[in-house]
Amino acid sequence: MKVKVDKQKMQMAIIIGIITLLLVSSMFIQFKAVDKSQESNIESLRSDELTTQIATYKSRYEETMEQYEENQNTISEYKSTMDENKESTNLLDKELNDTETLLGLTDVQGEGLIITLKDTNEATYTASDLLTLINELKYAGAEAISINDNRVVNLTEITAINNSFIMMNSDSRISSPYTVKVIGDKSYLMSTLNLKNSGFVDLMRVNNLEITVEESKNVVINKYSKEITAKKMKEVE
Amino acid sequence: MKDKKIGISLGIVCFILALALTLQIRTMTIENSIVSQTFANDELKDNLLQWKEKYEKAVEQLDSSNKELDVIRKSASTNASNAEQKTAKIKENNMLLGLTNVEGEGVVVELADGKSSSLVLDASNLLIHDGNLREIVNELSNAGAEAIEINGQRIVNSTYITCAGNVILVNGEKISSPCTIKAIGQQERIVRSSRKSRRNITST
Amino acid sequence: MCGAVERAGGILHQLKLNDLSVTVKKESNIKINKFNGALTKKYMKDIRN
Repeated sequence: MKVKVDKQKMQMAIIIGIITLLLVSSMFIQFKAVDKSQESNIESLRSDELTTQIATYKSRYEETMEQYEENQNTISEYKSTMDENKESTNLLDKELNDTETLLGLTDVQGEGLIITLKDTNEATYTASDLLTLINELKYAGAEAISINDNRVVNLTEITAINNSFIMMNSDSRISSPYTVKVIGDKSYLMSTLNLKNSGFVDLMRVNNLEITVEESKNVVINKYSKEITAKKMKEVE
Repeated sequence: MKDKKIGISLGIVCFILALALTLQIRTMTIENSIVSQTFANDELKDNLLQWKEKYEKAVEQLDSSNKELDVIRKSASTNASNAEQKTAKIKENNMLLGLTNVEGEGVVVELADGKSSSLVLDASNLLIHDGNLREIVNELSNAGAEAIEINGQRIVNSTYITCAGNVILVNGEKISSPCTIKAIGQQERIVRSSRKSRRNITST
Repeated sequence: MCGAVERAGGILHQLKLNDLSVTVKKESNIKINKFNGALTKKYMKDIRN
């Protein structure tokens, strides 16, 4: 009788041992799979990045090709003035105008947004907020921007002077309320600013700052009031 | 009595085993989705490479058409009024727009992710953020920089600096640490301004 | 992790830069690349004339 009980105990111990082994090994497999599912997070992030990169290259390809075709047209127009022995003054003027428009040296108009920013009793707009806004607008394809009628050009800086004034374009003092005018695809600009939570509008409102955004079919933006020059840089081939 | 005990403990063990198996099966499906995802990613990567190649070819075409345009503009405009002035101005404007390679004196800022140490409380402080680059560009502009580039990407009027996931994008292109920020301009002004606002910067 | 607007501004930013490695070097002949691509003016029209 005693021997029989021991035999039973041993049998049970073996069974439990085997089951434990199975359990442990399945847990190991489990751990491995958990590792992999974390990898899949990174993987899906990457596919997001890939999609945005594709969209970027696509639009830059299109812009580049458009400019290339415009160049080809200008080249053939120059050629025809040569063939017909005509003056090329008009063509030259047009090319010069275009570069000046891109630099921000001419008054421009077009569809876009008018954004009004106001300090409140609780919070004030900082230079960094304005920089963030400009970056967002450029991300959304803005072609021309001004703050309180000061044109934002390529290397426009925006810095704080004190609590109530911000300086831009080296000597223009600006203060609240800020009117930011922007020309570009108005619905794309609008949707970028209005992204839930991470968009500029929500970010400012969370901080108790006042912001209104208005779409317009015809925004007029003044030219940069100074000259843009280069003293230290020279073109190289 | 003993048999009952054995039965119960075996039952519990079986239950746990079954639970583990279910979890196992669930993760198997996740693994399967990984496989399909890498598949989709491969396709995306191919697509990306194709667009990148197309874009790079377009840039080459644009470059050569710009050169051709410079040449023909000059020869076609010999009899136009103020032709020389105007052609020179067009070339200068294109340089100011950032559409040509340039050289000159200036400063080079090297920025790299920090090394972790026990003194750092927040690991995020150790990483370069898109905002850091924007502030540096703003500061260099404030010091009168005439041309700025970050890891080969020229800062132009349409440039934006943002992040997508864990990468920083400048002009839509990926930038990662270390960042080399080059600026052409008056060296003294730039160095002075960088000392004033960032005391910890080492200058050589 | 990124993309947040830091309202504390300067001070926070400075702290951040403290943890990054930063060096500034003067150089007499820096070469800077051109922008690869085109600048567009699809939406803005010149109103000079």
